[in-house]
Amino acid sequence: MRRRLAYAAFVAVLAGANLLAFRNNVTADLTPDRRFTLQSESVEVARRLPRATTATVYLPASSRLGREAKLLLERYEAASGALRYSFVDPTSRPGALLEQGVTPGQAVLQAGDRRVVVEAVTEQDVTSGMLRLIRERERIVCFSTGHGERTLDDPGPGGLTGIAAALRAAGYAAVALPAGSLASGRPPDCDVLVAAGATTPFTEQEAAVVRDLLSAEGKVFVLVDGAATGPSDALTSPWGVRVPQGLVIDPVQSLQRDALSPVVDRYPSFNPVVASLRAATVWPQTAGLDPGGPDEYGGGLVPDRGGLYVSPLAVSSPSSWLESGGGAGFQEGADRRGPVLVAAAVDASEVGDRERRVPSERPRVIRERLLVFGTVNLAANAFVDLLGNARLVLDGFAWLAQDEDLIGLVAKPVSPSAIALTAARRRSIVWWTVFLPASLALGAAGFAWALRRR
Amino acid sequence: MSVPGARSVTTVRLIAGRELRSLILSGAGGVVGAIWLVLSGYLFSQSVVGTGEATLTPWANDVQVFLLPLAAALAMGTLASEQRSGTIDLWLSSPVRVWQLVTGKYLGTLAFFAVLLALTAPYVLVLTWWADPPAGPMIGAYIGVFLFGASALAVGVFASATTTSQIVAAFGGVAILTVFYYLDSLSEFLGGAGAERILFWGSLTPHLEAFMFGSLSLRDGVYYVSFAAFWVAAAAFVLRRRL
Repeated sequence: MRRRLAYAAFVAVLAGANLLAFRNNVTADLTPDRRFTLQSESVEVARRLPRATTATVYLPASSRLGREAKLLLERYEAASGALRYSFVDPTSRPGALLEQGVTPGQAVLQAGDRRVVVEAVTEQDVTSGMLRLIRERERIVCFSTGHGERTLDDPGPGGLTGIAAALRAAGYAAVALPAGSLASGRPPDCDVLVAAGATTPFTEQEAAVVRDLLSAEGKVFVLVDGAATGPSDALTSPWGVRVPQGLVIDPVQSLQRDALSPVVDRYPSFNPVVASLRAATVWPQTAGLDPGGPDEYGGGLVPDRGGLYVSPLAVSSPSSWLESGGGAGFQEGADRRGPVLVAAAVDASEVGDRERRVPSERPRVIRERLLVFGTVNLAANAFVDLLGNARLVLDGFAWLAQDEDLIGLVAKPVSPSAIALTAARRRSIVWWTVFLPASLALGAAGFAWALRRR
Repeated sequence: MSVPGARSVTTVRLIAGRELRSLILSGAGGVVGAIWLVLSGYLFSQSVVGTGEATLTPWANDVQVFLLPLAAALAMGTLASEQRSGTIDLWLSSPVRVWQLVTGKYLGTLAFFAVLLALTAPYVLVLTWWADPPAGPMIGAYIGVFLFGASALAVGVFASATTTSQIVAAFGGVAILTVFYYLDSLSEFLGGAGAERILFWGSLTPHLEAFMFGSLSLRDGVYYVSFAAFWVAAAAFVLRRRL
């Protein structure tokens, strides 16, 4: 009886130790990029999650990506206390993808009737998604109309139904402003104003409203129509980014050898819009931008504009040029040699001593932001799903509309160490890792057997 | 003056050393180890050649399933053969307690498993020669595989305590381990947040995940250590009742 009690006590001690460790878990992240350690911004956002928030990941839980996602979500769960996560295997339940309007690898965050789709289970995406989920109100993205802009309800190749759906999935409301409404003043409730491919000029009154908006904590996204850059230029020039006439030509690095559709994979900026972007992007019929700043691509502080800072986000390849006139091929003197800037971000709040703070419970930085892309086609239905286009456009909106909490959140690069595998190395790997250890073990066994026989 | 408990530790160490020697000199341990090393090496080489990535993570993930029969095979003779041949009575007629015998046998088998793991050192050499993999995830993978193997061996020792037949012990060990290996999959079918979480927590497999990606977790470490301790204690309990 005493022995049974002793065993029972031993088992109870083991169970208690597990319970204690479970409730007070301590982890040591040995990864070089500390991939499984949440940044303070993420912990802060996770703590603000409402009760019964769920994260549903559309990946097989046993896959490598699924396991990594689980480790990351465990950290959020521990930081939050309000989050519960689960996995749905897209291969065994393809209907769930259709029902939720998601693709494999995406995740859905839900709290009550609020729902946000997260592109991938990375810290940056999940924290960003959580922030959208806990916002007091939905962010509203307003698209201007009446100047030949692309429209949100046009399902054709040049329309924007694809990006409108992506915006809704990401937790934004995309609305079209009635034509002419800009002239009557700053549109109420608009967090971001978008001019998507204007081909006819804004009236002086409308342009003044946009200028006023940008001067008063406004966020504006200008997507240029490469064939008619004038209307966009009028909006962006006062903010240090000119959009000259002409298209970027790249006969070498382009989509299906169409020189008018450059493929861009150079993002010379730490700006959050491109900081986590690893994919190339396609820029059909894109204009070149001219920010006229001090660094290699024209970025940096704009002289005589106070705290205005222009970040060069994306540049075309060195084989490209900005075609400014007629004629086939590059014309020395007339055309501008590449790389050509095709996307720029203007921020009027980055320089520390020029930050303006408003009284509130927490100091809050006022940010005025303008994002300029050389082509609206990047976001059009025909191209938005190519390579990293959708990701870039959505990250652009996120940067424009984001709460301050995410500004310091840095994307953690996943950089697996690669082995250059030659045929000789493949053979060596098999010899060294299959035959050598087994031979050593067998040799030892044979030696022992021989010893025993003697 | 002797330190209290030092005698017990010495006894356990002696039994463990004897078990380790027996596994090495019997030849059977070497053959079982060689078979496992071939399978393990094959998994490693396939993961590296298949992905081109210098990492032990896929290997640590795949090798678990082969640790189940390995553990059962290594541990099947620890107590079953002693019971069958009657030498267990000799052990216990000397001033050796049941728990010392079981713990010593378990630690000896564990030491042999550690030797087998050390023989996989060429994996690390290959990776570091031709690439520059971060050390942290490799250390994590090894710690995880060692803890998983230690847990599986404890089940093998328990199975060996319940019978005089090594074959029955081996099959019994594999059967118990298979249940704990697939417990997390079972949780998906049962449903219900509470039951699902308990089954998931009880399973051997999920606790290795953090280790193999290079994230050490106290919770998972405590799980493996207590899992092993439970089955070793259970082996001692069963053996005591059988004698």
